[in-house]
Amino acid sequence: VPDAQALAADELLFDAAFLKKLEYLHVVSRRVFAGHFRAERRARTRGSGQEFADHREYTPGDDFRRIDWLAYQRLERLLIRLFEEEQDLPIYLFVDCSRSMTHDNRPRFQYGLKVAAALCYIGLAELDRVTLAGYAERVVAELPAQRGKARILKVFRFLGSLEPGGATDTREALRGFCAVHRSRGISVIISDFLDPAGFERGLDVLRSLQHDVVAIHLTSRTDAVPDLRGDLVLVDAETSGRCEVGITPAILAAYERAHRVHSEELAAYCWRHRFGYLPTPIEIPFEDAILKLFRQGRFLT
Amino acid sequence: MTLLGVSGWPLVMLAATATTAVVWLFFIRPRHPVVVVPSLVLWRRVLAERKPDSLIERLRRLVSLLIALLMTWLLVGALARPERTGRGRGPGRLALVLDTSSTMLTRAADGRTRWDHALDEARREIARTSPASEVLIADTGGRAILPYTTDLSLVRWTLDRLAPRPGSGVFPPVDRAGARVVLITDGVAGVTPPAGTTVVSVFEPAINLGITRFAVRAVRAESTSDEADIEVTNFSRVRRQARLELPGAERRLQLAPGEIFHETLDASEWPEGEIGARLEADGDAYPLDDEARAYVPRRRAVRLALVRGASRALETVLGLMPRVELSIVEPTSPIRREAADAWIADGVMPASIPDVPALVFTSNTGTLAALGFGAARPVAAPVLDVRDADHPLMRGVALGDVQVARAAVLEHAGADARVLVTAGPAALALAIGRPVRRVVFAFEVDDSDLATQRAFPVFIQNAIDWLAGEPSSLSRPTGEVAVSLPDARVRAVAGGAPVGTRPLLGATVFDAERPAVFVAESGTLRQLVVVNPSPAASDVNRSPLARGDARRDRPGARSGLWVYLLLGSLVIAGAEWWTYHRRLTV
Repeated sequence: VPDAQALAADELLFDAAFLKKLEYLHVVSRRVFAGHFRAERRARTRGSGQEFADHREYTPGDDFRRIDWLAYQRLERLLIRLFEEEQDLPIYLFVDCSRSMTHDNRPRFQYGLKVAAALCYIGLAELDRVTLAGYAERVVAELPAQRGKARILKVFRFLGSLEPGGATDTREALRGFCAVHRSRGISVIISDFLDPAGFERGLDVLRSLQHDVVAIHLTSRTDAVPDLRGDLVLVDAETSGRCEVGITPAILAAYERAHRVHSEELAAYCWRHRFGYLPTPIEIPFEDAILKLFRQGRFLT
Repeated sequence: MTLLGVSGWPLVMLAATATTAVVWLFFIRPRHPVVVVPSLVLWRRVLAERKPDSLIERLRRLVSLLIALLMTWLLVGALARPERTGRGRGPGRLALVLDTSSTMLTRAADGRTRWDHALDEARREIARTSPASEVLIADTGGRAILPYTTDLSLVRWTLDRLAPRPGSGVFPPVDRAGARVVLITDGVAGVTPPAGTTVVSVFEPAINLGITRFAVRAVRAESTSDEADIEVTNFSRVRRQARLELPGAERRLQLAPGEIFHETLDASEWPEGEIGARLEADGDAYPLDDEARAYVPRRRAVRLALVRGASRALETVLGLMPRVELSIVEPTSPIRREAADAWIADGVMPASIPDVPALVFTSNTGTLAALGFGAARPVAAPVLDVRDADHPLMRGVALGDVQVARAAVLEHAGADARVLVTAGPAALALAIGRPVRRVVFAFEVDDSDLATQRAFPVFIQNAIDWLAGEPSSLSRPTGEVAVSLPDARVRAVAGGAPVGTRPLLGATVFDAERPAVFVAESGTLRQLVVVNPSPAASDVNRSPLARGDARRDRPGARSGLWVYLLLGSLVIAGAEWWTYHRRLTV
């Protein structure tokens, strides 16, 4: 872990104090998903955990060590004591690597990487299984499920290796990612959600698989209030599509209104489907976003 | 409209070229800057919402192009320096009319005369023309000094030799076809330019005190006494002091604005002949009226012999004449030259016709025959027609209304006679110059109402002066002076060479630019002319241009149209800037 902290400090500017704070956080899932390994998270399944959960009738083959003899004496029935098994939580972190994230000297992409790294660290510290994927038109890179803080170095290297490029097609990327069997879990999408095909189509893929989805919407002030004037040819950073616009106060006002409506539509979609929605302006310090904003959004506790 | 003084065609060509260039530049102008944005998702949504404005969006380019073209045309128009050239249109003709009246010699505050400023204005006007322009120079003396020419060096040479001349101002006849006519004046002479003339003012208020009247006349009651009238007027707008010098006298004057000093002095002791008066005033800007001349006539009385039996009115008038020694002689008494300078008979003739100048009123054909008019015949109630109003005898006299009951007409006047009055084709009154001066009226005074005419005493005085050979002097303003003598020699009384003259319809004309006394002689005829500045010219501040109610072109305003065009283009450029930054135009 010290090595990981040192690397984080070098590459992602995580200092040790911040990482220590992260260790006290863990991701909250609104649902309880089945994990593969015993971890620090309760699962539906009953197993060999420490907390008593229930009794059930003894059937041959059961471990007779779990027969509740006190209950037999009182009820003259053979009952098996069941304990809640603490399992790990599958966390899927999707980082938008399309070119729209790199606009204006890549601050949004860097911010997304930091958020992903922090969340990943939190999940690893909780012994959750964290899967990382970078996507644009498709999943461009994937780090299979990692577990335990010792893997954070690998996570950082993976995040550092991500290169932005291509257009956004969330639907195709997620469909490709889910084409192989994935346990249900928390799917965190870190993106600007500027999908030409519409963000709904992408999120619907996860919704259909009953993932608990959290949308971290990275916004910037330059997106909301662009500093443009005069007659311009606007070029889409992803598709290279061109659009000639005479910037007038009315046009700017209409754009600001459209930007606000886009965020409101995303929030409404998430609320309607009980998804988490965390609008995250990249102008606020990253630490504040993790320690305050996400906790206020009850994404982290 | 002129293009830098050439013609309208270059203007059209320039406008067409500029229009082509602007349209070309409009369509090849630099493309809009390219800005990379994260995504066009939201922009396309915005633009889709504004689809209803697409027509306006398309019109914006057209409006911008039209604005650019309008600015270009206004600038081309301003560069062309359009100026109104009157009704006609021509390739840059300029007619410069300069006011050469004497008031143009008035000094301005900068020490230069109005004429100097007028020349500056003229040179500026010429400098504005193109080398191909035709320029005409004329003055208000009514003469076209230089006809239209493209030789600008000749134009400037002519200007350098022009000078103000005393005299009344008259706008000369100028060929205005296609020409811009400019009158440069101070407005004092009252020259009225035709409509469409650009008036350039060189007027500036000035200080002037001038001698507005100076004349010597005989005292009627005394044969050897004279008196002089002197008048000095302050035409300035401030109180001024002046010193007036007269023969043997001096006056210190202090005159309020507009005040007139008038005095009648005893001139009996002044020498005969030409005399002068001089005025000195501080800051006086107009020197021409600071000097005046007068003529003191000979003080000897004229001896007249009136044949008894003449009209009582005639006898009374002669008795009242100053410097006349009248004697009544019997018809039978001889009249000798030693005793009489002239004789006068009305009806009754002397027994013998003396060889002495005479004034005769008679309708007797026999008497007329004795006087040399054998072809005379009686006529009743003739209608008089004045034939020679310029003769010294007729000066200040109007005889056209005289009613005559009985007269005789003279069929042949004679070679040395000048017919004064006619009755139909025949002569009724005439003056004979040689060999002895005689004035013959072919009717008697009492047969007419001549004696009741107001001009009768004047005529008798004219007749006595003419017969005695001592003409009373004429008063004329400086400038072009005409005397009613054909082919007269004119010289200054004070001496010097004869002045240049020119004939004009039986009279003689000469130029007198300074106050002086001239004598004009034609055969036995002699005429004194006292020339002084016109009092009207002394009022150098009496100009309509001083009140600003006349057009006065200033350097900026004279070319006002191009200024307006330039301002218009600037206003449109400002509007384009305003609308561009609000994206109303592209």
